[in-house]
Parts: sequence; structure tokens; C-alpha cells
Amino acid sequence: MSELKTKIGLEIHTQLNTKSKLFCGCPTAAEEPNAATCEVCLGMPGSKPVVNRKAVEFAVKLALALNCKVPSGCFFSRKTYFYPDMAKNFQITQYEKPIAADGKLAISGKTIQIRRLQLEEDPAAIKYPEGMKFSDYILIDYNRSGVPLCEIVTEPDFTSPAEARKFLEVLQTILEYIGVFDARTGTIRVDANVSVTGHPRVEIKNITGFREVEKALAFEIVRQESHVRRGEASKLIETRFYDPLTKSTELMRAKETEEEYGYIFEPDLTKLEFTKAFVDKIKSELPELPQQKAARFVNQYKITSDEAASIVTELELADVFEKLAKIDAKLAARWISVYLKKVLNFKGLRFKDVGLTERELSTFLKMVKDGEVSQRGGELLLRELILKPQDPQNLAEKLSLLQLAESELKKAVAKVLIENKKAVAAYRTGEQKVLQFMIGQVIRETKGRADAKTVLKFLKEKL
Amino acid sequence: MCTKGLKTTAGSRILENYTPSFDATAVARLKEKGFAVVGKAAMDEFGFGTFSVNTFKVPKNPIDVLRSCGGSSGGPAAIVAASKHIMFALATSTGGSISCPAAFCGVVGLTPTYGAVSRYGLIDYANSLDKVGVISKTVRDAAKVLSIIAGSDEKDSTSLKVEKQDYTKFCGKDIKGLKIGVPKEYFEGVDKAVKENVEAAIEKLRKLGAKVERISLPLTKYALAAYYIIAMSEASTNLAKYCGLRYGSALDLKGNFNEYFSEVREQFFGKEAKRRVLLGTFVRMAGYREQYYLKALKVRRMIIDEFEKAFENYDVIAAPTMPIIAPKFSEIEKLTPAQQYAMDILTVTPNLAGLPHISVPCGFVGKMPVGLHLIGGHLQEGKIIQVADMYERA
Repeated sequence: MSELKTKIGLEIHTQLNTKSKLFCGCPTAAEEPNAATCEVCLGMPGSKPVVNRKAVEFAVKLALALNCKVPSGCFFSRKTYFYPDMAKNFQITQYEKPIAADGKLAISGKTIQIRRLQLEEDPAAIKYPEGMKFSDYILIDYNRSGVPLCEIVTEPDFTSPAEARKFLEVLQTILEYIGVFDARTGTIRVDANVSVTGHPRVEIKNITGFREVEKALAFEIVRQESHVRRGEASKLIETRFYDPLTKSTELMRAKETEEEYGYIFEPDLTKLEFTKAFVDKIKSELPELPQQKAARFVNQYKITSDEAASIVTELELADVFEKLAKIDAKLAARWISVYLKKVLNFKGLRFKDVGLTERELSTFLKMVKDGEVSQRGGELLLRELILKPQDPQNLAEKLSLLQLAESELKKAVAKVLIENKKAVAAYRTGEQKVLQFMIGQVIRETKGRADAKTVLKFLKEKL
Repeated sequence: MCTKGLKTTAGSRILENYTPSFDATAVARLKEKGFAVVGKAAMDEFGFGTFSVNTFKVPKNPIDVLRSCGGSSGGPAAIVAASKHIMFALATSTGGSISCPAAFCGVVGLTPTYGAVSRYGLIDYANSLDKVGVISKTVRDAAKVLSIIAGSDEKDSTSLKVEKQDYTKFCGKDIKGLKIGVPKEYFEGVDKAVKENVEAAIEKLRKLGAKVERISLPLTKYALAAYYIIAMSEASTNLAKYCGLRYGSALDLKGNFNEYFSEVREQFFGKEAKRRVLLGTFVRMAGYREQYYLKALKVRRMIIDEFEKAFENYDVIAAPTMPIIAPKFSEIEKLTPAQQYAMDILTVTPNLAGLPHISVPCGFVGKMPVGLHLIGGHLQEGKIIQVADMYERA
């Protein structure tokens, strides 16, 4: 539809799931607002930051997982701007000497370059009592002030909103694999830079949710295209925000020049040295990453690459697959990648949040493999198990989903044939109609735990 | 310097009613040893000044109340000089704020190596230059207090991993054979009468057995500019937090965030604080930070290197502390900001390089005292204490 080229770059801020904040000992979360605070994260005069080594390790781990070059050390900087969520009216971030640079990540056959990766403190959270547009005052919760954030800056390598979303999904999987992010407690916020040919770059600030990123970009592209076509493209550098309610972007500010942050080196902190031993140790602790795992699954279990890609999107799912593969790898791959994922996606659930045990799933898979439940019965049973994890055998009985074992069914067929000699004779004289009668008899005999198709097959064999 | 439960203003009206919830590490360490805080002393607002006139309660020189007691830690020096009972005061130096008032008031001012004493709880002026030190009546007392407050602190990442030691063990040690360098650049533009006193003091050191040699530190002339650029860059970021919202002076809430904090800062920051915020913001702006801020950092590195080379040959460097005696307030009023900054020429260089230094009284011009400045290599507090103590005894 569009002949205008689109360029998208992302700045992704992911909270790291350390126990304490980046520059003080406060916990990263609390139940009451402003409970997890101290003089450091409140920016009181005289307080000084001290770097949380764990957060640094997490950031280096992520840098290595994203194939970045990790330098021999890094330095923090002060980025100054006045904003009510900033305890000190400057943010401790990185500028000249970030944690790492020059990384790359492949998504669906395309490589996205990562420009830099830096560690910084999260500002406090602003609460708008009457919504962003209508509140005449705001509340500030400093529990978030100082939570470690890792900012990942990509090159403008994306050409569509869908690509950007895909990248974010793959990135989140990696974050979870290496254990530096927990979607239940942490957030990922995205600043998206987008321009279509003939339009200056627009930054859409602070989008939460990958679907929202895709929608915001899609809206913005259409908006820019229509401006370019009408020759009304802005000359200014615009910063916009995305309103999920109206599904549109709105102007925050427009300027002729880039924002001025007056960076200086953070004089309260010293250079962080990364020795080779330190980097090697973290490298050695890196787990098998999703894309490596998928490749191994295809190779080792002879499943399709689509199935593998679907299974590795969640580490817990990949782990359970490997256990189930001992029963029947191909069967396990199909049931996980198709049916299990279908229910999860439909319900918007993550496997690890469902609480289905490996034992329950392997029981289920054995039942499918042994034909104890039919295809349809299996799908039904799995859906119920996801909604309420329990013993599959009991549940199948309760829901009358169990099929008779073949031998049992054959016995029932034999019994019906013996008890209905007239019908058998009639069939042999060419009366096809009696078949229906006999199928009915078998199903009744088995109390409905046999399907008509199998019964028919066995009847024909015997007759 | 933060004192728990006790008003801590840093000489600024914007913190006029501020009471910290914690003690600075240096304060906490003294309290642990049984010392009590008897009071807080006046200073230039956030340390911005050389005469303690940039504040809301100007301290006066106890020797001549028409004169300044120096700055920025003017209050501590004045009170130690004036009181029979207060033996020492904690003080802080960014570019000479301990040495200057010590010299002007005729007391001892000891500034340790950058990082030797934790800055935790010190209200920041320029974090990469700020140092906590001591103003006292005697060198031995300064050494004793330093022994208590020095040592690494996990709350200050820039504090050095130095072993605790008793610095008084350097007192009473003779200085025979110690090599003292006297840089010629430190005598340029110094008042004649001050120069004579300092030369006499250096002669005394020679008589005590030290080997005195004239040296040259040619990079000294770049120190003042580099110092003020770095100090103001950092200061302008440190002062950003004072916006009248969560602590410090506030106004009735009016207007939006930008309008409100601008009004608070307009009303409660002094003129010199505003000047330093403006200059400091300018030199770190895109397009200027390369030629000012980043260049100043490089100059600092070169000056450190020049000193380190000098300390390969000399144990201590001796010079006048200040180029003048304490000026009258009426004279200060006539000085432009640039002329005021130029008064720091002798103290700024060792401060920029993070070197330990001590000012000891070395005679008088009229009734006003003169200071002898002794500068040591990094973490060589022992040597400057040794020389200063010997000088004091002789």
C-alpha cells in the first residue's frame, strides 16, 4: 500500500529483577507507596550512590546474550533535566562509556543491530489521580526511584511495526532465559523512533506493552505518510506519546534541536572495571539461549522448526518439552506448539503462571499416545487442565473423555456380534443399515467411551 | 555536613530549615569516639566563595572584625581561633576552603587526600573535588582527628581503601634530610609581606635539617581555569535537586512544576550560586563540553602527572597558603568575581590534583596571620603532618 519507506529504531528500558535498587540497599518493590526509600533514592543532600554489583552482572550477562562487545570497563554519567519524577533532577545513566555496544539479534531471519546497552536508574513513578489529561495534581511514588534499568538501543533497522514487536518478544524471551527479568514484577518500556521518507524522526515516548508498540507505530506511520503526501510534514523534531485509549499518538513537544542534557561523568562513582576473568565467568554462566535451543530441538528431536520456535518462547515450556520428549518427541512437540499454546495465547496466559506440573502433562501425553482419549477429547481435556491443573486421568473420567482400550473395545464388539446374530445375518445378506444399529449397540455396551469411527472399523473387520 | 537531627544549611537559604535524617560518616565516627557536636558554623553558600561573604550570616575574623575570616569554611576557622574550648572543627575543601580560612585566622587547616575521608553526608559542591578535613589549634590535634575520621567507607564509592592509622605518630619526628620543593610559580603575585614570612618559614625548615630546593611546576597557570570549569559543572548538577518540593525552603504551590521550582530557586539561591549554576550549565552543554568540560578533565590529569613527577624527587612542596592576608570586607566588595576566583590560585592546584595539604600559621603581617602551605603526594598525610608539626614546635 505504501511506497514510502519506514525506518524504526527502538530504545528499550527493561527493569532488572535484582533484589535491591541500583544505587542503594532499598528493595525494588514494596506494597505501600514510598515505603522502599532511603536518603539515596530520595536524593537527599549528602547521600551518595553505591553501585549494585548484581545489576552490573545482569547487564553484562544481557550484553553477552545480545552478542555485544563488552569493553574493559564502563563509567556512569549524569543526565540533567528537570522533571517531577526525578529525585535529584538528574539521572545517573551512561553516556560516553556504556556497559556494552555493537550487538546484534536475529529475528525471523533478519539481523537487528544493537547500538549500545547501558545501565541506569529508573525515575520515580508518577500517578495521575484523574488520568494523565485531567489531573490538576500528581502523586509521586519513589519506590521505583533507583530500580535498575537496562536500556537497549537498536539501530533503525526495523521496516515495519510487526518486526519491532517480534524483536521485543524475542528480547523478552532472552531476558527471561538468562534470568534478569521477571514479567510478573518488572516492566519493559519502549521509546520508539520512527520516520517515513520525507518526514523528520518522531520519538514516541514510554510505551508499555508490545502490542501497544505495534499499534503506536502503525498509527504514527499512517499519520506521517498522510502529512508527507499533503506536503505538510513537520520540520521540527517531535516527541509524542501513545494514548492506548484512542489508539493514537499525541504531541508532547516539538523542537528544532535535540534535547540538551549537559552530560558529565558521575563524580560520586568510579570506573567499573571488567576483567577478562569477570566477563568469561559470566559468559560461562550463560544458559542455552532460545535460538540455540530451537536449533538443537530440530536436530535432536526431529521436530519442525516452527514447532521448535513456538516451544522455546518460554523457558519453562522448553524444559517441560524435553521431559515429555522421552515419551514421544513429535507428539509432545505437536501438542505443546499447537494445542497448548493455542489455549495459552487465547487466554493470555504464560505457561509458568498456569502451574501445570510436568507429571500432569506427561500423564496427559501418555493418555493421548495410548489412545485413551480421542483427538477431540484430548483437546478438551488439555483446555480444562490449563484452566484448572489437576490429575488428567481423574478429570478425563469425570468428563467421560476416556476411550476404551482397543482390546476392551474389541471385546465389546465381539459381544455385540454374538448377542445380535440376526443382525449379523442380515448384514451378510447385504443389509448395510444394520451396521448403524450395531454401532449403537457397541457404544451403549461401552457406555459411550468409544467413538463411532473406530467401532465401525472393528465391526467391519469382524464381519 | 549532615548532622542527624541538627539543622544543616550548607550556608544556603534554600536549606535554611533543613534537618538531615542521618549523620555524615566523619560526624558519625567522631560521635562513636565520644565527641559531641556543639554547633554548626557559617560558610559560603555550598562552599562557593573565598571569604564567607556569600551566605546569609557572614562570619567575621576574630582578630579583626572588619576583615573576612576566609572561606568557604570560614566559620570553623573563626570559631577555632576565637574559642578557648573548641579545639577543632570539621571543615570541607573543594578548591582551598580549609587552607584559606585557616591561614586568615591563624589556625591549622588539614585537607587530606581526595577519598581519604568519606564524603558520605557531605552536601556536595563538586563531588570529584570535595574533601572533608580538619581545622584545629595545633597540628597534633588535626592529626588526631584525621586518625578518627579517615578510612574507607562503603557508603562512598570514591573513598579510598586505606588502612586506619594513627597520624599522631608523625608528630615529633625530625625532618632531617627530608626534601622540600619550593615552586617558583607559587610566589608570583604574592604580597611582599606575605612572601617574606613564608620565605622565613622555609628558611626555618632548612635549619631544621630539610633540604630545600627551588622547583618549577609550569602547568600551575592552567589550574584555576580547569578547577572552576570542573567545579562549576558538577555544582550546577548538584544544585538541581533543590527545587522546593520535598525538603528545604518552599513556597506556596503555584504554577506548573517549571514555574514553581524556578521561583523557589530565584528566591532562595544566592547570587554566587546562581552564577555558578549558569556557568556550570554552559560549559557542559553540547557544543561546549568538549572544549571546556572534557578539556578541563584532561588538564587535571596533566596537573596530577606533573605533581606525581615532582613527588618522585621531593617529600613535600612548600608555598604560601594565600597570596594576601585576610582582606577587609570593604576591599572584598570592590573585587569582581574573576578577581575573587583568582585569590584561590595557590590553593586550587593541590585541590584539583587531590593532594593532601596543610596550612600552618607562619608569622604575621601587622596583627594578621600568614599561612605556610605544605603539600604532599597522594596519601602522604604523614609527611605534611611531620613537617608542619616540626615547624610548629620550633
